[in-house]
Amino acid sequence: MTAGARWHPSQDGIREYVTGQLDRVSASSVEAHLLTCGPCRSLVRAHVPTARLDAMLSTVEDRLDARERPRVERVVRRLGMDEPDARALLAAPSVRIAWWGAVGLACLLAFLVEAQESPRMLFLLLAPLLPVISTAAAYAPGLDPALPIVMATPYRTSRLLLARSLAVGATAAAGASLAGLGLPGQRTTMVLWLLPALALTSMVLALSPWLGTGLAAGTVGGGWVLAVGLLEHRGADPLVAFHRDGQLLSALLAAVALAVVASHQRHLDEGARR
Amino acid sequence: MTMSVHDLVRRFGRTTALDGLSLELGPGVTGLLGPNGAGKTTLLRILATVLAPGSGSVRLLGLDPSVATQRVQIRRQLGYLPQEVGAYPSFSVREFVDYVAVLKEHTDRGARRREVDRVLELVDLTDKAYVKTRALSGGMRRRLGLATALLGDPELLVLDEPAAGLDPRQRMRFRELVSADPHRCVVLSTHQTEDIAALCRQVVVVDAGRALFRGTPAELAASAAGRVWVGSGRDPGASLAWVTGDGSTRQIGDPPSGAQLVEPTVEDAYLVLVGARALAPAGV
Repeated sequence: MTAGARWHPSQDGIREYVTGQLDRVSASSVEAHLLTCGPCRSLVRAHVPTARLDAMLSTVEDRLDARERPRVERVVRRLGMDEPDARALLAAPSVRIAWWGAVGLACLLAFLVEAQESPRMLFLLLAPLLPVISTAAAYAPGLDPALPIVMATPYRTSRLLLARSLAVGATAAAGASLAGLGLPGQRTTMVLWLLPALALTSMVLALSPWLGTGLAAGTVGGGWVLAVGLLEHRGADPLVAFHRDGQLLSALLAAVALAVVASHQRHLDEGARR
Repeated sequence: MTMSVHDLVRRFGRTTALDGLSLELGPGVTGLLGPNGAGKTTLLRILATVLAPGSGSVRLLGLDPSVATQRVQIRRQLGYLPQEVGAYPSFSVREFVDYVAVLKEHTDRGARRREVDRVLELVDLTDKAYVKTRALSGGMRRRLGLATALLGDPELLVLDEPAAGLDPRQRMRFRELVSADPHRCVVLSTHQTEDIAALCRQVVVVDAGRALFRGTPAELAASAAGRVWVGSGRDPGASLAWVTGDGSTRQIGDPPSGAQLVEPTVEDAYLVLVGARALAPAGV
């Protein structure tokens, strides 16, 4: 394992650095170099007490770390989330892809709703599917290239995937709500879809260990579309899920599915190992 | 025994990757040899606790990875290098190793920094610490994956083709690294029989999801005694034959009477065991 040719400060440069004679820009260059060069650190250690040098390098690295951490991660850390959770939640590109996907789908939904003559029905039928699709995208193990390495760590895979799913699902819900702002008439329309959406999303999470995320999302989403189609076909009200009984049923299904997720978290871990 | 598996079966659809494989592995380096699709990667994923077996039992460090709490305990002592090192492309090398260190419960920032420095130094990636992972060559990515596996100096190391893409000097450095602690249990897959001969205390030849051979590299080589010979052209009894640098034909199979037998190598013995399937494409 070999290192290629690279720049190193001269002996004089190091002597001037440790005696404080180097200008600020050059000193910063030397410090940045010392972070990645063991031999030069050894040279500096000959002139500076080890504890002082380590403290100085720690300060430089803290500054670099702080600059390197994404803004979103810094925000969620300030909100009280632990470092492992914040890193695990935000690291994977799949989360960003799912996030942008959720935003894109919300925009598409807003466009479709705007273009329809009876926008309320279309919105209510499609909006609950938005968090389902987004959650499945964030939860899908295949979208995280580092998952095999991550899964072999003590950090629980179920915690990781659930956190990502909830974060993306919440984004999708917010996006769909914004799309609902464009609807004319009753403001309650905006919230009626939330319980069916929660029920469908929870069912996807509950079924994932047994079916896999993609199949679970397809089954639940397909079931929703099929049920609505059948009601329409039989001349019944396809929007029954948004009436009182439908809302109660949605709340019940969501509660049962979330209880399954909570009590069978180990199955989520097992599901990821399939 | 540090690792033991008994009667492991794992299927992917209609493909049987492991078909009743049993093994016991102790401290030291164990090498898995086998053609593509033999089931090596599936076995290593099960040993790394990232894949559940379809049936059969696994014990790692005396613990059962099918039990969630015991699985976490195993993972605290485990380093895993998967076949494909999928690092986040926008992360620097240091950032990615640091990320894995966070997930490996290195919570103290100062101690974590020193640990990340240590493993980067071990795999000679210190000077690439601030390079984005997308800019790394194949060999550097293997070293990056190896760095994450070495975090915390784990008791178990599971390495899937760790020497792939490494140049000869890097391979020597790699051999030093994995053999440094004789008490650590290392299991690795490789297609490099010279790595097996130079590095491994035990070798397991896997084919069609089963263990065809278990023993020392010397025992493996000895198992081919009387099956390897040289001649001036291919003989009818040869199952494999190739012309060597000195112009003679080295052959493996059933030698004719009076053939000039030669001392077999680990590679010869592997070819005797696996035969033409050693040349098969695709993998499981």
